[in-house]
Amino acid sequence: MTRRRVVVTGMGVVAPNGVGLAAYRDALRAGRSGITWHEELARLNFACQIGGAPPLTEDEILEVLPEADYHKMNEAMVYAALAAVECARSAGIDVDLLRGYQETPVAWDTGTFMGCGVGGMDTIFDELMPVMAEAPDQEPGRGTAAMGTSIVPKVMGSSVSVTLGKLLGLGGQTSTNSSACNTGTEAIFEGYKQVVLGYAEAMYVGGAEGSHYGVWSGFDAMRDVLCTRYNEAPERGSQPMGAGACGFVPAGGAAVLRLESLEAALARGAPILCELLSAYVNSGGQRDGGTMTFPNPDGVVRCIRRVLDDAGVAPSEISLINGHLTSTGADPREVESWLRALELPAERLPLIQSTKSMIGHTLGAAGALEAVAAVDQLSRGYVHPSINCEQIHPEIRSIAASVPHALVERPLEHVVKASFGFGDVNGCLLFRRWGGR
Amino acid sequence: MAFKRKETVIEATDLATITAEEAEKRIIAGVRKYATQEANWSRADANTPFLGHIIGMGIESSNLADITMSIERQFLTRRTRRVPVSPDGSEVRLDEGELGKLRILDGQDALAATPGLAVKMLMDLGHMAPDPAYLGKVVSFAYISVIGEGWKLNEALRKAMGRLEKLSGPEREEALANLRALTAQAKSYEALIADAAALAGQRRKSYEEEKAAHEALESELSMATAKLAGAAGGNDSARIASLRSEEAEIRTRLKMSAAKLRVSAEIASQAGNRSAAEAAKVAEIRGLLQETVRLAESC
Repeated sequence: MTRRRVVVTGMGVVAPNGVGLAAYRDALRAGRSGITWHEELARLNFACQIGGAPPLTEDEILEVLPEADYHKMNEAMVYAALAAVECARSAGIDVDLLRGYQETPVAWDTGTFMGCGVGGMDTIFDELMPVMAEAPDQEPGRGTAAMGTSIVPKVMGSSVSVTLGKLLGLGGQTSTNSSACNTGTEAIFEGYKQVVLGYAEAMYVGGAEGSHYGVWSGFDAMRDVLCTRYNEAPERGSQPMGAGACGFVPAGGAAVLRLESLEAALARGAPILCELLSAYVNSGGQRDGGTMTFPNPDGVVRCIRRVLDDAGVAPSEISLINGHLTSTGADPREVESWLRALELPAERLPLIQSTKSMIGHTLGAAGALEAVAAVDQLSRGYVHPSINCEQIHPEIRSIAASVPHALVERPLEHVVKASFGFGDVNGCLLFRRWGGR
Repeated sequence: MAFKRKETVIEATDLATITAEEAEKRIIAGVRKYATQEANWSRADANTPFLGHIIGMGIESSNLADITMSIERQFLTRRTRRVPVSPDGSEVRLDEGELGKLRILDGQDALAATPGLAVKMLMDLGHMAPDPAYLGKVVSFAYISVIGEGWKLNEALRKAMGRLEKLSGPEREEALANLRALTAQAKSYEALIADAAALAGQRRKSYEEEKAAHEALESELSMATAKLAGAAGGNDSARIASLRSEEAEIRTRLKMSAAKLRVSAEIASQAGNRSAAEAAKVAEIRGLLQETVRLAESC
């Protein structure tokens, strides 16, 4: 089967440091953090009381979503819906959900892979648990009635993808993947395959995660995983590659990209942002140093190399690495893996950055939000700063010159983006600047 | 953290202290969050169906239970004393007691398809005093269904004509044949609803068929019960268990059939009694159908 070329024709973002692509871009360029202190986390005596939540109000949401749909959505679904609408519109697809969207025709050649890492914890904590607590006092057969009828779509694994399917009228495969922090990147890989193999002309791909304390609580219980020393200075909390990194900062949000076959994009005169040259996901098998929470370095190296080999791109042609880099003790190991995979000496490592330094770790949405950052930098020719790492971690001082601490305006040719997740799973994407052919 | 959702605090009102119109307003307001056809919801009146997108509020059928719960949350009643009516206590009726939360029992909401019919349900169940003047303006369940079918048919015709415009060759021929069949169906439906007696006759026929099926099920239950009684004295526990399960299954089917039959009976009994409000709605949909049929015939 011939591999078809895949391009990115639209993007949408709901991030802790900006809702909407323009706001996100401004924040990234300015090195602006979206991490804040949360009173509720303090009230609940979390060790980590900081996090990244998209600055959204209900009124802003209802400017885009019909109220009846909004009430049937959990947080991740809302974020996913807003990002998807922006993505579709930026790709030149007319979407107006407030004007009877149910009557629009089905897009039979378009589907979605929209990932989610944890899912409807806000629904479980705020709606389901209170009802179950009172269930023993209800009449027989009425124990669950007060939940209403929207609970299942709000807690089922595929809640985010079916949301996009409904709002955008998608007729292709509509599915949710989940691979922990690799989810967003994996979703892009899954959508890429659909277009490459000709099963779809276009795919909406990305990831979403809620920012409810319920999503973050399990990580807080692990103690050494989250950042607990910067409750007084939230914006300094996420320090990927920094000397003071003490754990990741939890966050929520969503990002959606529209992948499209080059032929389809050209045929409809769509705006082409870049080409997705290759993509791959694998696992380290939780062997040889790989565990539930730590990647097998050989798996990481294989994943990155496979993407470069498939595309026929030499390491020296890479302009920028958008790493997974979470602000934990794993950052130096990741940098080592990049050096091994690219077979480059430390002083020749391409620029390497962490978008998480500004948005925290958005879990199932991370790969997608960071892919949007990668594509935006590639298509507009800039490199956003990696903040909070002026003091580089002592174990990776050799690559200090590759870490941008301020905005760099520069044309980029190839940007590689990787994600790694619990369960020793890896994902890697390689984007190329769109040169017009 | 998660964005803040606005919380609506509902203060339940004693149904004995409000008018039917006030109850109707509260019922409409209470279902807003489920209404996907917001334009129709915002101008909804006693006779706007909860379901459906063309003239209804666009509430999805999966949310019917939410409508009933919304009504329960909004009102207080004195009919709160639970009196068992089945030997095992699983079925109850509600009698006069202390003022408390309204409770709509299983199946009682089967005909509450519009805010007006929901108010009628509250009156029929004794939660509110009957208000004949108000009920005179409420379109019956029978006519809500008649009018709804007319609108659906009209919409299907319009869509079929729209599709035809985009086609050519054999595909157009096939679509045209479908349009002709649909047009004939619409004409016959328009003629049927024009004549209240004919409509009532047709609905009664449907009811008689469903009633016959229900009675057959009742006989099936009698036989199963008799067989079970016969086997009860013996020692074949496997056979007794099998008969019990068979009887339980028939009872379940009978219960579902009874609910369906109740709706059918209501339609059959009301279709011949056309009020002024119903006649106006029928005239409106007949006019629309005639116009659409005329356009379809010219394709």
